[in-house]
Amino acid sequence: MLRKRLIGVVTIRNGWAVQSLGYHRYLPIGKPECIVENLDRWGVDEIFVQLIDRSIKSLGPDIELIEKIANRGLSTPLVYAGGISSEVEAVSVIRAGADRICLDALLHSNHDEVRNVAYRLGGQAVIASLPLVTADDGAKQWYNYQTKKITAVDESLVSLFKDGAVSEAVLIDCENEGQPNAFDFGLLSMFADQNIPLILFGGLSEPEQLEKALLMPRVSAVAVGNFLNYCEHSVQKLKTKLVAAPIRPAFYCENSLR
Amino acid sequence: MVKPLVGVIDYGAGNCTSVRNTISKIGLRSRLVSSSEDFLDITILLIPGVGAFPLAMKALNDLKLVEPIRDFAHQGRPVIGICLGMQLLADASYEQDYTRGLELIPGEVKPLADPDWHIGWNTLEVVGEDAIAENSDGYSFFFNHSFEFEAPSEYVTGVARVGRPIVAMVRKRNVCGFQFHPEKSQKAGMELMKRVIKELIGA
Repeated sequence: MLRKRLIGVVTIRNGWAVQSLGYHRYLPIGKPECIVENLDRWGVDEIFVQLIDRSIKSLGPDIELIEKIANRGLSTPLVYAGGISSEVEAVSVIRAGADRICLDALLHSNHDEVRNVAYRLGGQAVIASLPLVTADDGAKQWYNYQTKKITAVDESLVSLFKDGAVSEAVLIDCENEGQPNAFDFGLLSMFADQNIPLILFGGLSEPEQLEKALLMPRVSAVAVGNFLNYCEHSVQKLKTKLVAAPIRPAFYCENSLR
Repeated sequence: MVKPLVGVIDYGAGNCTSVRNTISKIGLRSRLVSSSEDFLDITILLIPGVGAFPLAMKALNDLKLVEPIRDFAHQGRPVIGICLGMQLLADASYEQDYTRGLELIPGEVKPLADPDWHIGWNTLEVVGEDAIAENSDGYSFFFNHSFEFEAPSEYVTGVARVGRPIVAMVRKRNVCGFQFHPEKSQKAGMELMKRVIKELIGA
């Protein structure tokens, strides 16, 4: 049986892991590689590392950091996001130690290059990051964190999914990011007509809320950020509370590998 | 005693770093293989995953690695393919263009349909009489693919289910393939890799 995933998110700014609140306030947490190592040790299903200042500063992907993380010998799949603007950079990220990449800025600027990335790596290695907000009129909109403008999701973006250039979408509740139990499930209405596997992120923290998300047919994974850093073995503790969710059981020791 | 040396085929887009880290963790040495000269002293050959089939085969052809890999396998020496690496072992693939593979295990690679993607942790069901993976039966491994290896049943040693079975493991004598990523499947993956390598090199 294919299980849904609990993804641990590590947000990085200026080289430090941070707690991100609502896409505008950041509190330092520590060294990214140490947090990633904990998530790996605790048996999270996938690790999502996002560097939120690389595209804005045109720095490209942080290959040194990926190598530093990879050299810790992770045995958990690693998704990297941050600063990827070309096929060449995407390939360099995979070669450095990531298993999949996630794109955001490129989705606003160059769909041909997104297709080039997928052509080289395969769409299964490409994830779309879609920060979403609720506009003043209540409409759900796609947020461009670089220009700080909001737009509707257009057909060109949707075609990336239809063509198989992108395999999953991370729906990010920007406004509720960092707030416990605050994810706005109304955001899913933007993709009601699309057959796109969804990863939900932003304001997801409580077992009941995570279970609700994981029981939705279109949701393939839930992503949790700093809430996993509050205690030792947080992943296992959270998983044991997700009784009804179709996820891989908590991993503690050899007897619980299944 | 000199530790076995694992040759990791570097075709330009594979996750060689991840694979080499896992090999190191299970106590073996590894070397990137990107030319025929790199085959010297290699005990076992590993073709990693991530990438698209036609470009990977083009890279192997450009690097003049196709015949050395085939020769290595035909000499009875062990070869392991992971994810795309397993698919490259097939006769051909329909990904993007119809492309011939390494032709080490009979079968063709075709697009998944319903679902279009197989991404996440799924349970391995060992099938057939090959004992190489029997201890991993029922354990979860990480899959990430949108094409599947359709092989004759005699070569299928493991499946995963998404309603219907998808080929998860293939083997033809000294050549073995995993559709999932053992190097990214935590303890279960590490144990499987260790056991399969040990079995294939006859240690």
